Amino acid sequence: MKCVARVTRSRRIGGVLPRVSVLLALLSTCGMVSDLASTAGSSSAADAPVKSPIGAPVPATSRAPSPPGAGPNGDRVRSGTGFFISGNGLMLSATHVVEGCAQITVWPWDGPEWRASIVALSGTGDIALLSVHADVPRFASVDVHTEPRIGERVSTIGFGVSPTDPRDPVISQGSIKANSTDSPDNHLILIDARLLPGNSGGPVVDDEGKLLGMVTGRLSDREDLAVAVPIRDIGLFLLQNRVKPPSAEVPGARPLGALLRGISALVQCTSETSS
Amino acid sequence: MFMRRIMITVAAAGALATSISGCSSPQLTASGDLPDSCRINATAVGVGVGAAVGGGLGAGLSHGNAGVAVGAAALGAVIGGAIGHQQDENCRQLAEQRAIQMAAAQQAAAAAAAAQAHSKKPPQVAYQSVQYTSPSDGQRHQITPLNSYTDPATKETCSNFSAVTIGADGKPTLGATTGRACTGADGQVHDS
Repeated sequence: MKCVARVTRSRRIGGVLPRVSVLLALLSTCGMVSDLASTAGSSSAADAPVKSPIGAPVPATSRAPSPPGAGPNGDRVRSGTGFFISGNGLMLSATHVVEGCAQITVWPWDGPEWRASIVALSGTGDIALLSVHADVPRFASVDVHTEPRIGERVSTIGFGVSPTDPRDPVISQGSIKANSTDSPDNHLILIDARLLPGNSGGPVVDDEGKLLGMVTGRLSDREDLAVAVPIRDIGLFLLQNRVKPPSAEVPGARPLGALLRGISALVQCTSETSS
Repeated sequence: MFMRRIMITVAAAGALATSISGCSSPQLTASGDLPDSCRINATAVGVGVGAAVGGGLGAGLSHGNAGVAVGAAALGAVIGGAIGHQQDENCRQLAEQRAIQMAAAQQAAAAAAAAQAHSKKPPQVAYQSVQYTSPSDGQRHQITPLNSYTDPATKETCSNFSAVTIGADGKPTLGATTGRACTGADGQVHDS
């Protein structure tokens, strides 16, 4: 994990003086500049991650008012990340994020929420197929022939990393550390990245935006090493559930941060089934 | 004349047997799929048929001796009744077996329904914690899932910001003003 940059939005705040409101609000958990960051701007910052000053202090976390009954420390809900794989609202996330949920709510970065339902679960692969039962504008391209390469730089996005600001996504970068997809019973990609709770279900893409896998966890004894389900197993899971992934927008057609935010969303288990 | 008497006797006995069997209620079983032979009172039918056959044969063989005919009818009734009773007993045991099987099936169905209702939906495989085996050295590592627990999201989104002030000289002053803005459910931006 090279760096983590909190992605926030810019807002124009009116004033008498000719001021230009520019969003900076960044954090870097390792104090380095995110390679994903683009130049900050007054209007374009909403579409692209912004560059973090080296050593920039971590800003206070923002928190929208909680709904009744949801205190700041209690009544929290299980959360993770998901990403769309089709224009008709099919979405992938991790099984452990949504399993046992009586009600699943999906919040995109910048739009209204959807109610989602589980279409299929893969327990061994930790893959969950959801549907928001609505058309979505952007989705990932699932090309099962994409092979992750050792040392290749990858990026992912995580929602819910900040418990009080679950809709604020965090984009992380790392590199492929190992690829065990050739092992019969150990189909996982090892990523050199310090990912955090909330990253589960996030898409792992290369620098061109091609989907390589989906984050499912990290090594318990090495917090700097995350694991992801490889694209090959995702494709097999979709095939087993008779879902033919359509081709999506051309990767690289838009900034990587915008691409990740566009196809991903916060997944919240807003109601657990009674056990 | 003689043969006519035999036929009358047999017919009367048959009518008697038929009336007896017709009055008998069919076997009521829980399963409802017992053989048709179990739906009649076989003992009564056996008594009637046995009496008729016995009476007829007795009358025929004794050339019209009424005493012999009555005795043969009584003997036939006893034998027929015994056979019919055995048939009834077989049917009763079969009905008991079917009832036990049906009760067991109902219990199993109820248990399966309860398990189904209790299980989490969808009824598919549950998440199973896996290990990562390093392909280089074969070392096994436990995996920690990276789900989180957060406040329920709301329509309102907030952002921290820093304002850049452009001075009269045209040079920006960075970070002179910091603040926080939120977009409410109505889409309006306001300070927080």
